[in-house]
Amino acid sequence: MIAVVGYSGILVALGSSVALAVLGVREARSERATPRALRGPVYGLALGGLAAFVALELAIMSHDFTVAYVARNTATFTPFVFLFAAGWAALEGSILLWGLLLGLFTWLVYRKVRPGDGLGAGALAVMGLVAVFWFGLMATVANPFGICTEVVNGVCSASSWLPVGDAVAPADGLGPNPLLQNHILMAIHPPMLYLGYVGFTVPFAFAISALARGDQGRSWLDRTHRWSLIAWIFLTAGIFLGGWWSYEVLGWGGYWAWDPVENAALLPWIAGTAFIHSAIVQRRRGMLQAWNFVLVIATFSLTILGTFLTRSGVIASVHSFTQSAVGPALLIFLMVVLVGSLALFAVRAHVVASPPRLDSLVSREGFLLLNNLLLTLFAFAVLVGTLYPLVFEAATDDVVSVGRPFFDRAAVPIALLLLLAVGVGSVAPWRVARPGLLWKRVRAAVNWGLVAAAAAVVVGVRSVGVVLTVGLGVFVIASIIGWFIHQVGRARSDGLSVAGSVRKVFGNERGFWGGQVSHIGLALVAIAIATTSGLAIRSEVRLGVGETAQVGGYCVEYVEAFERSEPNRFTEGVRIALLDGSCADRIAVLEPRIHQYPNATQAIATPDVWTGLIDDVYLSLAGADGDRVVLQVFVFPLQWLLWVGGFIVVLGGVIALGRKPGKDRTTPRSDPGEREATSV
Amino acid sequence: MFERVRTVVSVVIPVVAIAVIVVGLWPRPDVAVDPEARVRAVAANIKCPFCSGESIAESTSSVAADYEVLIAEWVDQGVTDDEIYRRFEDRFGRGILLDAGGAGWGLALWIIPGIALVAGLGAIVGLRRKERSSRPQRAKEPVA
Repeated sequence: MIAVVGYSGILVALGSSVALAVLGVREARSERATPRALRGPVYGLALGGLAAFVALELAIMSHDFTVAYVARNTATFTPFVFLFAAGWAALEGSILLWGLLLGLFTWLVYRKVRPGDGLGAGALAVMGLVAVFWFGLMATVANPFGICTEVVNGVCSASSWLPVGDAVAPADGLGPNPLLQNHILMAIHPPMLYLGYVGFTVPFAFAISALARGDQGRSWLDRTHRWSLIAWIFLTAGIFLGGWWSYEVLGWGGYWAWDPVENAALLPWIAGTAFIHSAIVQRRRGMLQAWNFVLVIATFSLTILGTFLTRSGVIASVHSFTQSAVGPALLIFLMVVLVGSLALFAVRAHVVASPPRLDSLVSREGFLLLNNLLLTLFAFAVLVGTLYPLVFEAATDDVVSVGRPFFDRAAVPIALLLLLAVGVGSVAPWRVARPGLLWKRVRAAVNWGLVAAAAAVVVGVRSVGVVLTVGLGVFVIASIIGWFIHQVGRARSDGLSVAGSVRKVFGNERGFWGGQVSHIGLALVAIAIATTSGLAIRSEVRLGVGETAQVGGYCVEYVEAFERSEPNRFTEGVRIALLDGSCADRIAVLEPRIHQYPNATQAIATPDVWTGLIDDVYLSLAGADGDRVVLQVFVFPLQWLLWVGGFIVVLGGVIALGRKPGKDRTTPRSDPGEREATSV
Repeated sequence: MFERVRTVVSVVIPVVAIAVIVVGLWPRPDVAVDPEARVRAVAANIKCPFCSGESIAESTSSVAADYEVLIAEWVDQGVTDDEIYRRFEDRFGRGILLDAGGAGWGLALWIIPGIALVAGLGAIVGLRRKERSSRPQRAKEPVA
């Protein structure tokens, strides 16, 4: 019964999407677009998606194992949090979550569409078209409400496509994939990414609508500024939480492996970041109109590519848990999006392109152009590296691998150049900057960067990459803080108090300062990546009970082994005392362990981490050697800075959200004497 | 007086910092490469044969641990990095090496982003030239 309700919700949403696409196009072409005509389809899409999602969650919570998805991905012993998260943890559920969010976002967009708003009606039509694909997928090859028709050895071994027929139910379900129920972050990180992915549908929809209507100007950018930021914030948070999950769960001591599916999330983030920066140039200087269309099309296409890589099983990866007919459908959709959007762009580019207005390369817009060039290059390198093995294998039947060696070599120089561009560009004036003025603004920050790099050398760092990154990271932070102090000082000279000056500076340019907060976070992240990869200490130790070993300024002592039964898993582990370097004082007791989940053939090694003021000490259980335990011990300097930096990056985005729409003034064409004054 | 001290300090600080950095990071040929670090570096370039997408250095599987021990033995015996890579390639095929971008078709990994870089630089330079060439005409345009 519940499956029928859920599937009906999908069909209602699908029908509504079709109606929204058709009626939306009609309204967009009309001189007097009436949003009320779209009300029914929008509500049908949102409520149909919601009904389907609620039905799936109810089926999961009530352990209705006649629903094949529930039988294969949940069990009666699954804890509540992971039971709820099972609603999107597997293929069909994740697509349903996508549809639910798209329906919700469509409704939110609809609420802002006013009579006569052809651009908004067109955007709703595009969102309807996108929804046709996702709900069409759920209605056909990725139906989460197929019912179980055969049970073999207590496992649902066959299911029907439609939720009708003779349903059978196993006594209990299989439970979620062990890796997905091993840490709370796995319940949070995927919805964050989906919010980011689906969020970028909105600027894409407005861009396509503007292109199709031949709308010139920045209206579509102004209306999607917050949407782009919201999508970017969630995508950023999702990527950092994914890294954190990897660090806390996978046990190899890292947070980023350049896995194809990690790259799939990074690619739209890079393109989206480039788009947000490029949009600033259009709003302030009226430049790069055509380029902004290209970037938003690229960002949306890369979200589809990311889903294709994640969900098709085309690339062997720890993330690619499933293989199904969804892959070809996603590939076709990606091709349709790319060919359709780029063809539309080719036809309309001459209408929407802006005249060149680049007065000087040494200017704020010059550095934003450099930022776009570097980010695009970065995206190209990651994209080519990710897809190369696939293309090579398809062309030659031979297998090649592209991993960390290539990605590190490509990414590190680009990232360092980006840091340099951020540090200088943030304080560069719009239009044109005299080199002397620019030097005056960055000189103190350069000194801070040099002092920080020298301090790193003095404390014993001998890695050129780490020293360079620390220097550039501190340069960026000093440059931004120095500029903020300078601006506050100027405001104070008008007779304001310190608090009043800070409020004035921040309030006048909230978007700008939100961005600078993100840049500070990014600099901290860069420093943390350098120290955790360049200065990490790793050692494998074998210990009997009561024995100690020294690793990187710490001692580890094997205290005892332990076992415990939990409702959803069996745990075997060891208690390890973490001592100071002289092996005298105990700092903490860690419990690296192995989790064995019912119905899972492979046990999951789960590390334990101690975070101090400087280092993380990370213990992972590698195995047993007779009575001795084999431990991987890692010491990561400044690991916590990575998570703090990530939080600050996201915080900056949230601050920038507070910017009032249309607050960015267009920088006027002024005479050379005034140019330097047009500073922010 | 204060201004002079400030000027001197602003010159001295970067000079001293640069001197510390250069002296500290100057390559020292007498410092031998740590064998454990070499094993890690080599293991990071080789895919764990029976794992999903991880390098031998990254994988926590027992298979990866065994191969790391094997690499350490070869390093002890004085086998070069290239020879170790060749032995793995002979045993498991080219896909075992994580760095496909070294030569042959793998150069495409560098050439394609390189083309993007050149195209991007070309576009920026073109934008600048277009602006310069259009400026005199624009100057003649009447002010609206």
